[in-house]
Amino acid sequence: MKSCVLAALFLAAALAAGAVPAGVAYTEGQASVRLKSGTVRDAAIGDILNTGDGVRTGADGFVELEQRGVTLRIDPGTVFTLMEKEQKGRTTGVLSLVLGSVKFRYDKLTGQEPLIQTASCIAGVRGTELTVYAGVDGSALIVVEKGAVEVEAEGATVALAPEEAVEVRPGQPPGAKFRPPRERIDYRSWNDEKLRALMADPAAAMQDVLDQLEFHIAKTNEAWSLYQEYSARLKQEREIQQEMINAKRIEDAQAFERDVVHAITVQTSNLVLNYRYYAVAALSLRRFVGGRMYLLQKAGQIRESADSSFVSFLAKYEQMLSAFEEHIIPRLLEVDI
Amino acid sequence: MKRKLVRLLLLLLAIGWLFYGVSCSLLGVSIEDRVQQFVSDMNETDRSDVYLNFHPDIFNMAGAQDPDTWETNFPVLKIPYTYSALNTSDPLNVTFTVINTDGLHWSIRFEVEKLDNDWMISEMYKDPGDVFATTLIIN
Repeated sequence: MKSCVLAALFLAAALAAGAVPAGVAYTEGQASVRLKSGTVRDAAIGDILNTGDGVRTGADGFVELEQRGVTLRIDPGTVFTLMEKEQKGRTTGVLSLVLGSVKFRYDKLTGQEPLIQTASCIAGVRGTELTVYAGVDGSALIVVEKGAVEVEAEGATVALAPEEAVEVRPGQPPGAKFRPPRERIDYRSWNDEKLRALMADPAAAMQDVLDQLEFHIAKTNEAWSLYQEYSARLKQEREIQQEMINAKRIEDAQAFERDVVHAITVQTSNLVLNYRYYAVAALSLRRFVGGRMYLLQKAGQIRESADSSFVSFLAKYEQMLSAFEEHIIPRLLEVDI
Repeated sequence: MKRKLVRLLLLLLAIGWLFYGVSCSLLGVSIEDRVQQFVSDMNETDRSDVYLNFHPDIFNMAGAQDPDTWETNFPVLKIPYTYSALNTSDPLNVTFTVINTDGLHWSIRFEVEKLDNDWMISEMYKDPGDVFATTLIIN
């Protein structure tokens, strides 16, 4: 069977709906785009975002993105990235919301909608209109206006129907479904509530983030160890091939490349994509959730004298940094940071 | 007299160098240059810059940026890689054959796209056989 090795990386991605570029249709206030190359610039109408690119809006910023068949309204104070990961042999688009709120409006569903990810859950879209909120403590709130959405966290799934909502705390399964208020939830009030809870028990909030980071670490390590396993298999097969080469059986070695080595090369390449995905997701969690919590706590301690809750918070924070440095940093590239 | 000649020669050299530099930046990277650069990058032990051959808008920049991708597909152990049978007549179907140090070969197909004056790789196919896959289609 004829096939492509790098096609798995560069083409399969294109077949997934999530990998379709998104265009900036409207922007106002303070809003920037961060390209995967690391370049950051002010968002402008007509900008095209691809996998790995992100949008960040300031307190007065607003961006409307248009992807094929879906409009994304990115509200003020939001950090949002287009990502992708390999799932069951195909590349799936992931719309990653780290902080803030985004409203998704689908014109029609194709069955290939990208997943929506926050620090605490993953939502599979079966609906046409939904809003996702991501709080300062890593919590998420998913509100479905039309259609249906499946929310998954910590191995548990909740199916939401129209006018239903669910909240997910980091490191925990989705909570109970509830009927959201008729008027749109005010992100700032919701997030302030999270902030108050965070300030009341910062160590517990940091523990939630730590749990979530550990999930990303486990996934990164799983993909990495599979990558190592496949790399070792690839090396073994290449050694067998080398014996053919040493015996001057070049045609046999070429046939071996086509029939055996090629398939393992494709799988190994896909695993690179997966460990990169989870490592980059962990980077966002550490930078935008953990890092922000630290700054908030630190600012509070400057105003007041350091108390025992801050000391416990700091211990958890340092635990998070150390886990991040040990497991995630080695999987990141210079361009990610 | 001799001194004048040397000065004139140096001046001509400087003008020539300047003209070469300006024309290179005006003409940019040709498709042939891009293929040569890509293969040359495969012959480096450090593959962290390979992604710079690709158009910044490619779907999977994360994979292209990771040197592990290139090590998996073109092991450093098999350096040097050479290429032959380059056909650049169609930017959407640039084809060539990469050969490793043992004489094993792969058919490569690039789709290239212009970014300012430089041709960049926007898609890449690699096949251990002689016929390119047709099952994956860009939409």
